[in-house]
Amino acid sequence: MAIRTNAAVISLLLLALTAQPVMADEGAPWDQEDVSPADAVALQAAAHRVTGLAEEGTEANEPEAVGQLWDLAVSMGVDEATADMIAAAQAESIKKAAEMKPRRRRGGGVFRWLFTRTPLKIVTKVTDPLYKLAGPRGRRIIRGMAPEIQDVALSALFAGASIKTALRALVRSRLKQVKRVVVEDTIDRLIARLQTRSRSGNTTQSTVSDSAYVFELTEEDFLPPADPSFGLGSFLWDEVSGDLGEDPFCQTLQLQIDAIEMRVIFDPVGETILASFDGSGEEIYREPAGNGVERGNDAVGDFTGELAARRVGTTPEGWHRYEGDSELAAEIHVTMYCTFWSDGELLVDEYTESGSRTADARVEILVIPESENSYNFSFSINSALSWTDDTFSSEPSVFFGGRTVPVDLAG
Amino acid sequence: MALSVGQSPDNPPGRKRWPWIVGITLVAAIALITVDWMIADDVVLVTVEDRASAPGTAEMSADQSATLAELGQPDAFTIFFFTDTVSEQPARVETWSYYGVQREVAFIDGAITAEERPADASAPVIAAGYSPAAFTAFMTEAEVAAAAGIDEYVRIEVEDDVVSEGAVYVGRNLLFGLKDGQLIYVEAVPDLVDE
Repeated sequence: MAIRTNAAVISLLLLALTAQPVMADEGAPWDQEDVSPADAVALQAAAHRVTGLAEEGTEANEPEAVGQLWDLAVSMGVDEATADMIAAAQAESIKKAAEMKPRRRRGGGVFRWLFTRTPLKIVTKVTDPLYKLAGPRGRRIIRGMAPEIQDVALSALFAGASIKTALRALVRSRLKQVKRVVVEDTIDRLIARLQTRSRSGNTTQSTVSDSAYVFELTEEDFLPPADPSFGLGSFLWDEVSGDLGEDPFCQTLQLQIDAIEMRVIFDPVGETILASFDGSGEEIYREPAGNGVERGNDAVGDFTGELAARRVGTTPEGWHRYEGDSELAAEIHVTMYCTFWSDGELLVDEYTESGSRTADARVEILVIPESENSYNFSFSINSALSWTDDTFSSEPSVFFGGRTVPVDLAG
Repeated sequence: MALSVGQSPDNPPGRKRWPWIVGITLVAAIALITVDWMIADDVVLVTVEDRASAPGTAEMSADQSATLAELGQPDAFTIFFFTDTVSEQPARVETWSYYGVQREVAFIDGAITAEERPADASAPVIAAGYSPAAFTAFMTEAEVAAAAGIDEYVRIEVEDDVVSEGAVYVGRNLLFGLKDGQLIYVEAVPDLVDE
């Protein structure tokens, strides 16, 4: 039996040949600033690139490309949960692309790392002038994309769009596809959960009253079916976007709400389930526009809603099925500001929009008695939020969650 | 008479060997110079002379303790540290891999979130020899080295537009990454075994 030291160690030795000895860096104390999960994943991707591990059976994930697209999506105002969907779809695209081409061979981690930092041949050969237009960051992003996505982005560039506009269009076009995939995936997962029942222990049971058992669904309950390292704390509340009309400096508004909280009251005696929705969130989208112009907006939203679901039947697996319609109310405050300079003078233009909107929600709840005092519980919600008035317009959006959680009624 | 490389009845010792030696030397020199030119600015070998005292270990959750009790230390693991956007508290997301039993367990802040077969378990491995508990969020470089018990590793600076103020490190069976001098990624990599 021979021990084969992996590429990381080989690369370490190779790197050591050219490295210069220094003392260990003492580092700086943790300063409590936010650390993005994208940074952590990007560092892993870089480490894998350096050591050649990226080619050792993990091509399907291609974390660098996925991480870059995820990072890009977030930087463009897409919420993290949706970015997860994009990244998951990107990973799937890369996986498919990898299956259609011969696998790269192992070895030469450092050199491969260096070589992979050069533009892909297909890009430079076919669209070299356009590729140059993308600039360093654009080229880096495009390089990280699956080939079919590169084509989309480059097509947009060819049509005269800026790299950012092209990528923005790309992400938006991907959203529709990704949502469908994720919805289907979630349904599959839900079915799988119904069949296998999830393990216990992840639910925060907070209050027990005389006739109702209250527990909170944590953010974990609403994670999309993607890499669990992404999307902590983000729910699938879609962005609301639209134009601010005549203001020439504020053409785009993106609004997304995180941190919606949900509380479900489960009445096991009757056949009614009550749910209340309460949450608030904040998302700031800021887009420096250059040329002395800075624009952005701050938005804060509160959500309320109630649900009364009725039992409509029992599934063959023994789950009691509850269905109900609900109306979510969203009260959102937006402060839009555009700052620009003229001849050295700072001019400030601020626009504030506040208002309430409502959203119809379709809710499905499945409950299965596990024992006399113990139930398993699954919850999914679909909502269409339509947002139109003189100022805003948006496409209906959807969010949902699915999770099977146990409820111990014994208290 | 035994023959060595470059030696034959028609090629007696001391003749026509020097072109090979010079050629190989030139190629090696050019390769080293090229590699050095391309990466020397970004890559340094770090030698720890006065190892810092090992910092405290991470507290293992009930799920993690149960996993350790059942399966022992993982053969390999990956840990990400970042800020939860809702709680604004550091989050710890990790995956432990047990290739011998073909199990991989994912945790978020210590709670099991998934369990499946390792995706890349095509060959037997020798465990990396590190413990996930040894690494805590936002350790400094020196603290990571002390926690891992390594005296030598390579530091590679990452371009700013990939991760601002980021660097990745390669030690024996250990990869880790720091941003602004603080640990946000660590991965224990096992050795592969050819049978």
